[in-house]
Amino acid sequence: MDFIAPLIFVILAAIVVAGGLAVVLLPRITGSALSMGLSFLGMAGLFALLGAETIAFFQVLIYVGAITVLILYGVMLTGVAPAGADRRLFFQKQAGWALVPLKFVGVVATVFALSFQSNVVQQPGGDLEPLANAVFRDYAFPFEVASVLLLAAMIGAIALVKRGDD
Amino acid sequence: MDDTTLRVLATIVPLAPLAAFAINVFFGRWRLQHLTGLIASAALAISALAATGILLGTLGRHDAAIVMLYRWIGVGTFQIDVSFQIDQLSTLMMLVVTWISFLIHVYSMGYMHDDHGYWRFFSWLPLFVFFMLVLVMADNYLLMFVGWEGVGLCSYLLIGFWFEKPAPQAAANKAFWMNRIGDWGFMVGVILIFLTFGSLAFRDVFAKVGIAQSELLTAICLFLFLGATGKSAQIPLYTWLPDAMEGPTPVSALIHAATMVTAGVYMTARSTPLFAEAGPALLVVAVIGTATAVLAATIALVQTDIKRVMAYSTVSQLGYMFLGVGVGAPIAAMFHLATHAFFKALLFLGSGSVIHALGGQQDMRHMGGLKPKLPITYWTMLIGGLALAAIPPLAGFWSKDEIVNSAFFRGQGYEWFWAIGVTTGALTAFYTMRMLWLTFHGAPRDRHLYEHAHESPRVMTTPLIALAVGAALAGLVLGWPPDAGWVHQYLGPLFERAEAIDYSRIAVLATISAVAGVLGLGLAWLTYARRRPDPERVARTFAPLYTLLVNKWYLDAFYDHNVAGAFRWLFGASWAFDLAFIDGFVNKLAAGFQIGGRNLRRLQTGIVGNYALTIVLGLLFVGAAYAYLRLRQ
Amino acid sequence: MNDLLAILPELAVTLTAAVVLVVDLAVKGPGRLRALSLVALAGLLVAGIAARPGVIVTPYTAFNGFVVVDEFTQFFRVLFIVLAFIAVLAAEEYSARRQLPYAELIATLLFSTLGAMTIALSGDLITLFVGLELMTIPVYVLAGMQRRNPFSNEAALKYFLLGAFSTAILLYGFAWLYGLTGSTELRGIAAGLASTGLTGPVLVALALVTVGLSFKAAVVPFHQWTPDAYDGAPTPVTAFMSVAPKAAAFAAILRLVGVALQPLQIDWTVAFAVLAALTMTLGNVVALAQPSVKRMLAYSSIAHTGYIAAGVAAAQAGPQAWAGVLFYAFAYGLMNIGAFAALMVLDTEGTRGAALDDLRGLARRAPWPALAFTVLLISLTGLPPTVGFWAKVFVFLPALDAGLGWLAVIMALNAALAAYYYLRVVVYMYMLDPEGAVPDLAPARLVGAAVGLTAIASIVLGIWTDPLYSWAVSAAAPILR
Repeated sequence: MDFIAPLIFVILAAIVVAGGLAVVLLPRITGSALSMGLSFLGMAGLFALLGAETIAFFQVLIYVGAITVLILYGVMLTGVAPAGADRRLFFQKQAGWALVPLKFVGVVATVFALSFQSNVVQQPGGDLEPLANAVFRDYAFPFEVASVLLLAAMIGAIALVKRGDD
Repeated sequence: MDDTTLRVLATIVPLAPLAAFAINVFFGRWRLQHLTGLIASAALAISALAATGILLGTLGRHDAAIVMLYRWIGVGTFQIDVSFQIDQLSTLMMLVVTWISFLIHVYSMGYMHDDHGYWRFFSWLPLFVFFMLVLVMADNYLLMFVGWEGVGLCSYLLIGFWFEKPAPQAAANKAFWMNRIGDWGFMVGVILIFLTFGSLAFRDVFAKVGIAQSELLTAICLFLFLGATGKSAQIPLYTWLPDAMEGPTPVSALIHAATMVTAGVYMTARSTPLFAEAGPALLVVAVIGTATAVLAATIALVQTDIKRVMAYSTVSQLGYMFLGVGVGAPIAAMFHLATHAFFKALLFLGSGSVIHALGGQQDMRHMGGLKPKLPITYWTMLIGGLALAAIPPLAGFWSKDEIVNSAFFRGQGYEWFWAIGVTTGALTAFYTMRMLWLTFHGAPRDRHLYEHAHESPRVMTTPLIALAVGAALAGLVLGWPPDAGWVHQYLGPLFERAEAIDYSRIAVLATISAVAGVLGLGLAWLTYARRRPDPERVARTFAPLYTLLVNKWYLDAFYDHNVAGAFRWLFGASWAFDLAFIDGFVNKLAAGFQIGGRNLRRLQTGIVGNYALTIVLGLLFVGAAYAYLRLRQ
Repeated sequence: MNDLLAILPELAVTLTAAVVLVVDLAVKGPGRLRALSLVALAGLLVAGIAARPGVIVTPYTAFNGFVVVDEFTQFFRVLFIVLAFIAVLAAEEYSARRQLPYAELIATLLFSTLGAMTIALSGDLITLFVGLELMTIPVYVLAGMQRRNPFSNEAALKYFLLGAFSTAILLYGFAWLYGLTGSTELRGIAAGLASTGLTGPVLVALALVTVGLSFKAAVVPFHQWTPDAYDGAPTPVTAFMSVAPKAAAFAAILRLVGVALQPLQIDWTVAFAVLAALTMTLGNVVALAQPSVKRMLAYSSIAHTGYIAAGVAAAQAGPQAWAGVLFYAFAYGLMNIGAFAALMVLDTEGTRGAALDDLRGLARRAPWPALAFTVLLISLTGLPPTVGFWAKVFVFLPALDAGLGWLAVIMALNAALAAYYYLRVVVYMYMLDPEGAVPDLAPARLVGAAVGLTAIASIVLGIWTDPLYSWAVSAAAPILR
């Protein structure tokens, strides 16, 4: 058991990283979108590994399911040309190659150098109940505000796309 | 007088004009129309009567009464009240302001009768008076500043009253900008006062005047005086006043006689406790005042616009007042302020009457011989002119003489101020005579205008006669005997006086200045009536000097090119900055990132990217700043 | 139940937004817009009464400490309700003319107001963040409401992209704070920071948070979205977005630095003073050169941000400094929303708001709006006896008290600069003749009411200043305790 969890972690992490790389490197945008779905799936695995099954479930449902599909629809409806962006991003690409390793080192260094305080407690019997408690009792107010935010965003979206006012 | 009555009267004085403003501005256009003039005049009459009541009720009183209306701001150490200080100085100013303004309002009902902006005129005019009353009645510098800014704003609206024409716009702008510079100085002075004394109320500040270092006090006074030069049209900020002639003539009369320009003199006189301790500040006031008096008088010699002659004479007379304050004779300065209010209002309204009669013509080269056509205007203006020329026993003589004499008695080289003052007096007499002669005597130079000239209606001539009585008698009534008249006894408790009165020397000096005045008159009469010497020949002989004067010593041009140029430069610089930095540098930066960037769409996205880039750079800057500050601790 | 009473004004605003949408479906015909306006105005009135201005509250918390109700909350609640009220007044005729989806506009505006109010009452980073988003996201939408106008689209897109970017920065900063202190509650963070002290990671968190909030408040150099967004958005929206989010950003800053970052005071004040000086100077200098009044007001609003930030930086002068911030935010809100509303008196179809030349001779064509606009401009300049003058005084004096003399000098110089471009507008309205075609006057009874109300308020609060300032002082007290 002690070695299985790290092994699974490595596999999942590899999926996430590979998916991420594919998003950036694949020439076709549909390929990028699908790779992103793959990456999300790996993330869901990581959540499950950490014992947050509900969040893993939501991750699959929302990100892998809804968002990836949404992006694919977006790509299909707008019809973005695959090439052409390269020349414009010439300089940024170089900078990216330079900065990404730098940031990676920085993050790793920070994680090891600092001891972040954490009061997260591993829940033995699934995470749905504490989640429900958190959302509907402890964090009820911000949660409700967030729901109003979604309502507002929805109305806003309708207002922006609705055609021909009476 | 008990406190309640005083309180009621002191509230009525400024509120009556304010009420007139409110009524006229809200209902003037559609409902009241020509009633607005009556309402404003009635309000001013009430205000003037209330001010007179205050005078009579407080005659025996020597301490200042504070009438607090309400607390404006009161948190911690920062306390400002809206309250009035009723003492001799403010009462005198109230009387001058309300009575002269009342007469000008009455006159305006005739003068502005056919103007389509009649209601608008009678909305701004009482508001102007209201702010002036706030200025003179305030018991602290901040409330005074409110009035100070208010009269600036109203003058702007009134000078530019005929905004359809370009000249009034330019004049209004000029007045506004000159005043803004002055206001800035005044504001800095007020802030320094607050920081130094921890209060803005006159009584607190003057009581604590000893605690300030003398350099600081000098700085405070010089900043205040900069404010005064803006409002009272002294060097270097005087050029707006002659241009302010573009407003309707009653406005000019109001600005020159009762409100606005006297504010600087009043404020300086009010701040005498500060100026007296402020080392060289008083000397600066005296020098500036004298220089302005001479400069403006020389320019007035060659002006051909009747109102411009008057305008430069106001600048010159204000110079005298500052000379009075500067040599330590604020009573004389206030006395001159009061007499000047009478004869200058008279002269302006009189010239307004002439202009009215000639259908708007202001150029004296088109006038002449109007005496039989406009008898009342002529005789009243003659009295006003002689008062301005300081011919005894008219009002101007007593007050102006007292100012220059004070300089003489001061000794220690101040005799020079006296000499310059007397010489300027001769110049004053000369240009006054010239103005009167060119307007009313000789042969009419424009037959057509002459034929159509007619005396003004009663509503305009009555104020002229009232003012003429004042211009003739105010000096004697208020100022006789010299240095010990009513005005001296009244204001005496406010200002310490040094020297004993020496009547034998006063008599000699008075004779000298009277002779100088008569000489000036005579010379002008010879030049323009007998044409010996012929004025055109004189102009040709002294062509360089003449050109210099006609061009107002080139100072207006200098300001236009350099000061206004500086503003324009600043404007251009910011524009260039926008172009060069925002559009140029940022776009260059964008171009730097987009090596192949050629078409517009890319540029568009590039800009949003660059905005984000500056956010990141700003983030780095903030982080670095924090780190630096942390390390330094 | 107690918890719900604590958020009564917020509930009223939410309900109003919902009712507006329903009424939109129920009412047809020519009276629809007016009915929507009336519903919104009535709802805001109820919310304003529920906020009980003038009744001093003893501070208390609700919803597990996520909600804090004190004088500070009350002050900003009332401010936001007032601003929303004026914005609704100003929006109807404009929306009718441009055929904007009015019900959605009003509802979105109300949601944004709700977000701003949520920021004011937050006692926790999470509430603060959700409130910030609830305030900002509707504004993205509002900016893009004029769908057929490319400028409107550009404004919305730019604001959205950069706003999302800055939100990420802010959220990252919050994450660091949480990581370092183990708490999202403001007082918990304060306790945590007091024990950690000023370490390197704290500096990182501080920098991220500063930048994130500075963006929302449009502090230089995080201001660049402002001119484009303000200029392109429909004018009633610009009026609202130039005041409410800015005031809310400062509410967030005060809550955060006043409560959570209290132990670290010295460090952020100096940096803030520098940013404040940069902000007011750049805003003013660039505003000088703007031929478009709308753009000029946009840049000048950056300058005003600088003044408010100067008050924040003067924290060492004690509660009076932040009382100045609150007072300035209130005064600025009234003046600026009124000034933008005044532009709507002109019907400038097809352009990006009024150019300076469009205002030529306005005083003759529309004397009342011109007069009210003049009052507002004088107030924005900071001349007595208007509220704008006091606002400047109340941030100026604390800056001096806090030993920031250099900043006070810059503030004074900037006031002179501002006078130039504000009063130039007055010159155009009163002194210059129209040249060529001038835009028609729009039917503007409600807009006129909005302009008139703000102008009268500017004068009344200028000559009867003590009540508002006293309130600001008592509202600033709880955060500095």
